[in-house]
Amino acid sequence: MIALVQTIITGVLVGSLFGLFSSGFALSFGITRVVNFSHGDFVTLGMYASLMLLLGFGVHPLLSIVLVTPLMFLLGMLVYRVVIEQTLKRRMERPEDAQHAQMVITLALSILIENMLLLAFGSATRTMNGVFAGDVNLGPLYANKAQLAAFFISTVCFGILWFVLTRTSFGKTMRATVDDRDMATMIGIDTRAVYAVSFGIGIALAGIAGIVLATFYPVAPLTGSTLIIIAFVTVVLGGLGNVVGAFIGGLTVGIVQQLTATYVALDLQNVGIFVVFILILILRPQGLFGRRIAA
Amino acid sequence: MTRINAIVALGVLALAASLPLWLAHSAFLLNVALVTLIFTAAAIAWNIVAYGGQISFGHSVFFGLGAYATVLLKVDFNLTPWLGIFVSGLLAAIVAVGIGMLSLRQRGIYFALVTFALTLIFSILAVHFEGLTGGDVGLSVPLLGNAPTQFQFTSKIWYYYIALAFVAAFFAIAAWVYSSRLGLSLRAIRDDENAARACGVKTVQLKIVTLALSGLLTGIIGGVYVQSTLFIDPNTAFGANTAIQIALIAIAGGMGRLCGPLVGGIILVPLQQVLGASLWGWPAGLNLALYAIVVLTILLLDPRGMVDLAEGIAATARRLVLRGAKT
Repeated sequence: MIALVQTIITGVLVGSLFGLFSSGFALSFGITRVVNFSHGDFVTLGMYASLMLLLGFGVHPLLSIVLVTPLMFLLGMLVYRVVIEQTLKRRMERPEDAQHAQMVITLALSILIENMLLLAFGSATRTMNGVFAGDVNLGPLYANKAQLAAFFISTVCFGILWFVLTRTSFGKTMRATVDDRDMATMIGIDTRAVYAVSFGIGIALAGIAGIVLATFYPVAPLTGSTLIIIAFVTVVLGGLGNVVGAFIGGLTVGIVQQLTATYVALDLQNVGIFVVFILILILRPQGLFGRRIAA
Repeated sequence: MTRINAIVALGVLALAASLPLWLAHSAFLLNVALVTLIFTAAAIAWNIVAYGGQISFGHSVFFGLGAYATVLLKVDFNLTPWLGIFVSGLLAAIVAVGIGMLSLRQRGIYFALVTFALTLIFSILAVHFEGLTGGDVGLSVPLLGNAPTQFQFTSKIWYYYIALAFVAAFFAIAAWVYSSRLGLSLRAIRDDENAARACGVKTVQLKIVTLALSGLLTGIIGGVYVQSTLFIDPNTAFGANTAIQIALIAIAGGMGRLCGPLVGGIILVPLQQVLGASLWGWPAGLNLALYAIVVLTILLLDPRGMVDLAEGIAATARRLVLRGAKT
């Protein structure tokens, strides 16, 4: 029983980070309709930034969040403006055509980032030691300090995101753009800017998750390719484009992953996620919290 | 197919058939040509699903199933790979039906997400069930030397011509699908699924049947691949890289266009192979980074791919010539 509770606790702590970068994915997908295959690689980018700042300059990961996040945000905006927006410039017969092109463009971007990382850092898997070392004990239960910090940071960041989306006028602008892009344009919303900004926020969230993830998760150039699949499962679980659903989906994925690792087999932990994924597709394809989307 | 198209197709075929005589002299170039044909064939099979507007990032699943099953049928049941590749293709088709029933009921990008996630699961499973698949190490085809009845040849040239025959056959099948009633229904689904449904097109069933056909062909070519390399491991078989490679060829060439995968395969695969070989000794990653930049550039120039890009250029050139003729 204690082992079960312990497994669930670890799952929630790790899953909160899945939830954070997946909500970034869900946000940029929900608003721009871009399926960003390179999202996981921006997490990897954050992980390397965190690692290099610590090893090279002794910068604590918590400080790295403050330093790196604005840069990731700008990078995200830049990627949107320079790369993704190109697909919208040509007159498309249907938006889906642009969406397909965007998928492949972000896929190529993913290959590019992964191989740039490989060029810069080599293929070795690196780990960060000494930051948030040790456990916090509570009776028979314990929590890894790094994972506890991760949970705290991702909950706070998600809280801020939720507040911005639901309680500020900027959030209103974004939601208006999602609901009806043309109408939003007509009442004077600069939808082009909203797209770029929301894409930037999505990437920034990926960056934060990466910085924190690096404190307890080993990083290699190809780490992002596993993370993006976790993000896919998470957003389908939560309902496509549903930011809150994605966060809760992340927690679920974390718990399922840890349960499978403990009770089935360690190397099958991601298969456990997938079983849940398939069940969701059969029983509730619109996701746990999704509305049935038309066409 | 009009007569002109048929002549062009035969011309291309003759050119490809004569390739080993004048270009692919060295073992390296012959191998590049062989890999090109295999991935082009897989991309043609991929593209059949794309006629219906569906985009799969998990075709490595069918490719890998075909490869693994071909080897296992030979090792465990002593079935000659000549039959094994087709049996494996059927297996891939059955799996495709399962995947289709799961993911094609939903519209839009679900299919892309689900198929991409499948690549990870199949490679994990292939590593985990070591007893069947040999785990991380992979599986080798028992070496028999030159054994034509067992689909093994000491000279790569045989594999080249066999792969070429499959490319031609797949292209013919794709052309037939494209011009058939099935193709018409698929285009209707792609353009407007609701309207297609209203016209009595059984949209979900047709999408599943198409995926099964595509899975069948991809499984067969996976079997051909494993016979030509005599080795398969989980990452090459099921990994996301193979899935992306197949999809990228077809999309950069021209998704849903008959000639798209052909053009994409002939240009991109040799490019990647030659980059990989000529940058040998340079830091790892440079070749794929350059490859990614080329693909990005193509898609930024024309998100619909190279066939559309070429058509655009041809149209512009024609306009300029006409304008020149008028003045």
